[in-house]
Amino acid sequence: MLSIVNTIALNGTEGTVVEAQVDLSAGIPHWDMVGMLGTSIKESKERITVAIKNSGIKLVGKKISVNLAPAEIRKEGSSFDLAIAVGILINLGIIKKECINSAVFIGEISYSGKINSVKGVLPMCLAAQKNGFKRVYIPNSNINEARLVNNLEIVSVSSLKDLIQKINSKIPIEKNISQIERYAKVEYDVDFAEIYGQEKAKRALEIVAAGNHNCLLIGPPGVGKTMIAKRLITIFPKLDYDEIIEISKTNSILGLTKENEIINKRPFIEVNPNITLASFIGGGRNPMPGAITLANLGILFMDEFAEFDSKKLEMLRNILDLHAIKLDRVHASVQYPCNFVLMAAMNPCPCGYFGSHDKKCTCSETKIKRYLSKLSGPIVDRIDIQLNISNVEYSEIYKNKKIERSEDIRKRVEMARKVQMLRFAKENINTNSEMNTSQIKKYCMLDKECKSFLEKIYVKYKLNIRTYNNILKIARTIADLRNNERIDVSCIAEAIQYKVDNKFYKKEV
Amino acid sequence: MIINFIKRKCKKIIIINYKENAYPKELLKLKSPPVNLYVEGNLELLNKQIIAIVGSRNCSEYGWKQAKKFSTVLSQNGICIISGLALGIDSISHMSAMNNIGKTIAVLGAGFNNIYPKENKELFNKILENNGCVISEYPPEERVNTKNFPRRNEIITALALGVLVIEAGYRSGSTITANLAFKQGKKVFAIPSNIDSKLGIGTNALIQKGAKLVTNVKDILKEMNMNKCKDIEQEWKYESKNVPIKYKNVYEIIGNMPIDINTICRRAELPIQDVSEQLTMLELNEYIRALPGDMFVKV
Repeated sequence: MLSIVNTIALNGTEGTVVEAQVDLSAGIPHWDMVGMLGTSIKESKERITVAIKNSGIKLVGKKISVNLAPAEIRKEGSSFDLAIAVGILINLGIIKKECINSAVFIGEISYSGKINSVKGVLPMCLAAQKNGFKRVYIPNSNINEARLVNNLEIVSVSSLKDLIQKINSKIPIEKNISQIERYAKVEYDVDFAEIYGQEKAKRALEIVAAGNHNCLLIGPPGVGKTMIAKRLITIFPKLDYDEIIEISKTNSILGLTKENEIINKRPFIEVNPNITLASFIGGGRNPMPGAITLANLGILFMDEFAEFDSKKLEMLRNILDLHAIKLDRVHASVQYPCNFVLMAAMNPCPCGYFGSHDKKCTCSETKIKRYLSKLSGPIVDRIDIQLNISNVEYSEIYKNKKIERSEDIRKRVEMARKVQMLRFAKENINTNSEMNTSQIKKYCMLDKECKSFLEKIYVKYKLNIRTYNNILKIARTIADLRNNERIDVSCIAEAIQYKVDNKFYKKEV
Repeated sequence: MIINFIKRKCKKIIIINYKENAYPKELLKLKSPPVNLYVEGNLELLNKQIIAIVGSRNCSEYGWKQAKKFSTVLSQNGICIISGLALGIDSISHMSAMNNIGKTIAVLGAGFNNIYPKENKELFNKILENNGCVISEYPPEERVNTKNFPRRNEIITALALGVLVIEAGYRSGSTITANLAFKQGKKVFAIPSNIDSKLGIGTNALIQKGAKLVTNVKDILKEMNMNKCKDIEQEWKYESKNVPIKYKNVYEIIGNMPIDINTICRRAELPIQDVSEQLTMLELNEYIRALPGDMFVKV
């Protein structure tokens, strides 16, 4: 007799429906499995036989054939166990065929019959919903992430016995409604109020958050570059439902979701120069997401930016333009999103003290040039805001001045985001940093005064066209923060302070 | 004798032998004058009134400013500035002299095809474009060798009527130059520095040794018996600059010492966005100058 049970195979974050076709016939005990299977699936027959036996069910004298269709898709992972086991149980008459109509089974089975958690439950559930399935059976420990999916009956099972009981009892199950309120309360353990002084840096980060601009922090060691960067997430707008799903998806694939933890914060991913290319951009035989995808919708913090090898930095160039990474490998070709805000931090020179007022730099000019030469023009051009961070005076540390909290800043940021959402309603972008040249022309209208002002600047600072566009983008965000419809001269004048490449390291005459 | 070198076809290097008339007389006074002088550019400059400006390669903001000031005003008075085409004070002196229609002479420590440091190749070309003059004792293919630099300094001092030292560290090249000038009987001028400054050790020591302490160009000209000091009224009077009232508050906080943007913001008691805006305006109109590390200083 043949029974067909549905399950989902993942390719990147996209799921495809896979049918587990299980056939049992009398004959010499034998087990056959086909359908382009990875090692972990081939091993599943051992797990399933033992688990069924340990659940008190007899499985003797049967010839078992299993086909996971469509056969052209390569299948990896242990999440198919449950579907195959259910197929066998139907054949044995323990589960009724009618009970599993329009249901999807996901889970790994252990020898004891327990159902173990698997990676990628969230994207699988989403795929199930998309393909019109009404119910999913998932491991108990994955319930948290699955609960994000709306309008789906979610049944979590702890063991094979539990599963059989739940299927046969026919208790109606209510459709899941993701309780987004659970995600509303966001608490950070850091706050902007903890930063003393650094007025300019704070303002710059406000602009970064409001317009999603990339940012490069330059400063001597120990002045708080990392500290400032870490607080950037606290002023980013709160996540909405779609964003939570998107972030959870990546975490789900990598198995990073925790049982009692909900993801409601933007990711802050810190990478250091020693990271391998594969863990940076993603990779492996079956391409898995790397740090850049983990940072999707959040912040990628690259400390010691100038120490990264040029290969990674040049990769970054492309990524910053496309907001996605395509990984082509032998077994699969996957596209992952990586729409992050880049926060890069570096010292101004090898010794770290160039331009500092406390210590004198001991580097020669050639040494500094060599250090900075890693940052090719194109990569620096893609970073809208360049920011100098200098040391705080002692008097600042114990001043009883009222310092703004992250929450207050976030309110302004969210306002500015709203303005942008309205403006870009007809475009397929959300923030100022994503504007292309024609959009800049359209949305950064300049009056005569601004034009002549920009011309002066263009000549004085010897700008190129890309820097010019960057300045306009920042000016647009500043105007949005001020709730001005038009960019005026004061917005542009402020924007220029966040472009330091012309005065950073060079002693002009 | 005019030779077209293959590497630099379009440009001409003139070789002057010490027996020729065009050879600068001043150089003959040296113990061992260069046999051949390789010259490119405006030969006539060598017969003009020349003052050498030397100083630290790694100069401070103070040195930067003084070099610019003295070079500018000296050039305006028709004096030719000679220096060594090095980084720091040398570069600034050459540049400021050219910016003020003055002419400038650079003396190389190596051949014409090996400009040192490489960064100053542009400056080298600019000097020639601006009808300046570059000379070297060495044939064009001569490699850079730091041992040659004191010798170059000797030529600089020999050609100049006096040497102005701006910022020199302890036992630095500039001190060597000044000592050579003393030996040759040239006048040595030094700009005093803060006694705590590392870059002031050399210049302050020179003053003790008998170098003339100068605070403005007039002091130099008086010493050289040239009292016609032109444009002295315009001599770097930043106080008289008409800063718009809008920006006066911020402008007055910025002094001659570099100051950090956050400190400016705190002292002005203005929101940082207004401070940023005003600083850009002030910088654009050249009232102040931005330095690395978000520091600002009066021009």
